[in-house]
Amino acid sequence: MQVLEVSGLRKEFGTLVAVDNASFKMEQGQIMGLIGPNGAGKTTLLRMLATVLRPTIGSIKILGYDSATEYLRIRKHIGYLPDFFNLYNELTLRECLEFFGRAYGVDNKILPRRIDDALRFVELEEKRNDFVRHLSRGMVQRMGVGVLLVHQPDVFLLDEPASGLDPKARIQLREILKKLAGEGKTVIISSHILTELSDFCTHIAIMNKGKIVLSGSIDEIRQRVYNARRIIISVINDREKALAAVNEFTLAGARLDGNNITLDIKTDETGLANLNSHLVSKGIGVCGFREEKTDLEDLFMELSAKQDEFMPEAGKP
Amino acid sequence: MIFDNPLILRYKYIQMRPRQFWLYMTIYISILLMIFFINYTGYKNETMYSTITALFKSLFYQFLVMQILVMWIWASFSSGSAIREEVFEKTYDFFRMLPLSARTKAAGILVGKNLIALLLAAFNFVLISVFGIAGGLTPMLLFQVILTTVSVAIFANSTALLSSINTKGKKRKNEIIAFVLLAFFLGPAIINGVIAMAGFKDIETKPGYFFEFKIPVLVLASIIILYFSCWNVKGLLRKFTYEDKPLYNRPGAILFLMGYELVMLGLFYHYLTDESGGLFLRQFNLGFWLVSLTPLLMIPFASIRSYERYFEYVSFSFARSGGHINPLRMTLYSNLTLWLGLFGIWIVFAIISTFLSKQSLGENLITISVILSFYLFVLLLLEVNVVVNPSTPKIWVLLIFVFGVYVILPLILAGVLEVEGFYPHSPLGYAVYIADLTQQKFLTDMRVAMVNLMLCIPPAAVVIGRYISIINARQQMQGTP
Repeated sequence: MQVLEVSGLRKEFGTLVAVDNASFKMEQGQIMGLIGPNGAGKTTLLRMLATVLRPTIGSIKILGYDSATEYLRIRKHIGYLPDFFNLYNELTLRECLEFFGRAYGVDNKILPRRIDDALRFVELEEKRNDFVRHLSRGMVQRMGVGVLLVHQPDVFLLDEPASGLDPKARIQLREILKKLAGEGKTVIISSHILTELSDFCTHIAIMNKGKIVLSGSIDEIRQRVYNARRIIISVINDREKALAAVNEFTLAGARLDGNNITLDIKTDETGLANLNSHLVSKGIGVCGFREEKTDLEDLFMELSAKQDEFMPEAGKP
Repeated sequence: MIFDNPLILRYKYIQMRPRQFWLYMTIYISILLMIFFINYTGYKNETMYSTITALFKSLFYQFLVMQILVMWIWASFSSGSAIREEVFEKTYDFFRMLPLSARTKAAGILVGKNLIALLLAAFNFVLISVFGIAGGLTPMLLFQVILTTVSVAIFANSTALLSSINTKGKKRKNEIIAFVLLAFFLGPAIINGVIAMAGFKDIETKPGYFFEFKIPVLVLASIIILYFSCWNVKGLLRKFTYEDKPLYNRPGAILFLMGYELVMLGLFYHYLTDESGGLFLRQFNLGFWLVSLTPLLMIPFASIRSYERYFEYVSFSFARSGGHINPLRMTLYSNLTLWLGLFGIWIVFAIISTFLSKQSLGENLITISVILSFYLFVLLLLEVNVVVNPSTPKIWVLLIFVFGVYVILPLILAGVLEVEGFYPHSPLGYAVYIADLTQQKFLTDMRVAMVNLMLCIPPAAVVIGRYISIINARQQMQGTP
């Protein structure tokens, strides 16, 4: 089921084009990581999706509702966590969740259960009667997610949810986001910390200078960036012979590193099986055959290195 | 149910916690006891009151003052600080995202933020009614006083909230200082006002005129205040719905001004058409002009189409016309056309008042054209700020300085050089000049208008240059919208 459709989205602030011609679609249950350097336009894009900011041009449809005319309906179905936020300090956690639940039209009969569930989800049950002002920054961040959960939105928009958190709080937040992913929610999350995203994102969109320069599933992006799959073959004997056999079969310019042969190859699963058979037929003892999954950090660095291809504007004044 | 509004519920949680609630109640009850003690002592010793009726009447006025302080100042301060607090506490994005109608948000703040003030006000009204009746006030006067108090409270609260939307968020300490200063300066004025009102005899039947209708003055004032409160509420709904848009759209600005002019004409009509007015008719006419010009200085600030809107307009026009846009169309879209259109509406009402007061149309048209030349210069300064501010954010400092020089320099020159011909070149000096019957001369008017028009040339050149640069910048921007 298609949940979100963005087409030709553009936001101008005077002569500055903050978001330029952004278009993408998201299905239910997809988790999209929005990555890019500072000033890439991530926050502006999220604020437009959250209906907080009006696009200069272009359209946003969430669950079939047009953001230009049906933004109140959209707001009922989305949960937006801004990059810098606070909650109502003078309320207790329970009161705070009750307020948001009522505001989002949650039925009074089911609201207490929702509040309990949300507090349990973000592991703040024991703090339910504490004031928000007594929470640590990490707890406020988790509580922010709890606030979104109380009305059970279909789409979560999370802008740098881990910024400013210590490692422990970051791990806790990551666990919460994993749980969300497990519940089949559609999530767009922007973050600088790419390793955070790789654990649970199904898709990524890379932004630079207001443009989405690359988007798709992580595997698709990986293939586009590296233009090949990185295979690592571990052998137990005849390393030089094995290297020659690999190069003879693939013409891929494999490299030898200890007992491992690394090669970047553009092939499918059948091709890999044939390579394995070829090595075995040559009498080479293959003890390992795996594809190296680069994490998002490496991917982004590789992308930056190939900026002329993917980010023609990057680094230019 | 009032607490179905989630915002009111939230404020209830915050304000009605036992500790806070009883703190307010203790202060309130202490004040009540103090008032009763002082007045009763004065009555008992016959130093302040000779009769029990006089005591009750005095208590009525004292509680009326307290009511005004609670409803007009304290409540308005609370209403006006609601959005500021959201911004300052970094909860504003959540507030904006709430899927609540603008009506719910406005009502939620106006009622919720003032729950304790409203509770005290409700109790005060009971006391005011009891002491009023016991003090010999007629039920009609009591009704009129309560109507006026409530209508001004609605106006003050809605104005405070409206003016706080789009705030950048200031420190709470500054707000409290502002509140204390406001109470310090306004408090005595309110007390004196109520004492003066107490001195009026038959105020309940004293007529106010609206065109040919005679209406008790307090009722008339309340109705007019409620009329403008309705505009405030309309403004609140607009700002809570379209936060990034100006308070007035074009039809809104025109309708507001026409309504305002009509109300003012209604109030002045009786005096403008008074056959026995004689020389005063001219003063009434100028008085109407002065009052009816006031919104022309306010509406431009609340109807500004920003530089970004100009860019968007040019983008849309580009998309429609395939990459060409005439600078003239840009000028038509600009703020200047609306503002000059508003001045056109004022001219119509100024001519009507001229006819009603049987003044010379020719002379008044000359005066109107001079006022237009002043207004044009001010509008151009404002438009310079709109188009230059994005690249030079401090331009407003220079513009305010220029405006200050424009107003004050002619007065200084007139004084230092002892040449009276200078002072009509200042807007303030011109206001004095047209009020003085013996002074007005055609040549002076023309000279002032010509100087103003020449002064308009530099800001007009800047504005037109910026319009063209917006079009050029749009053409050079990468990508098509």
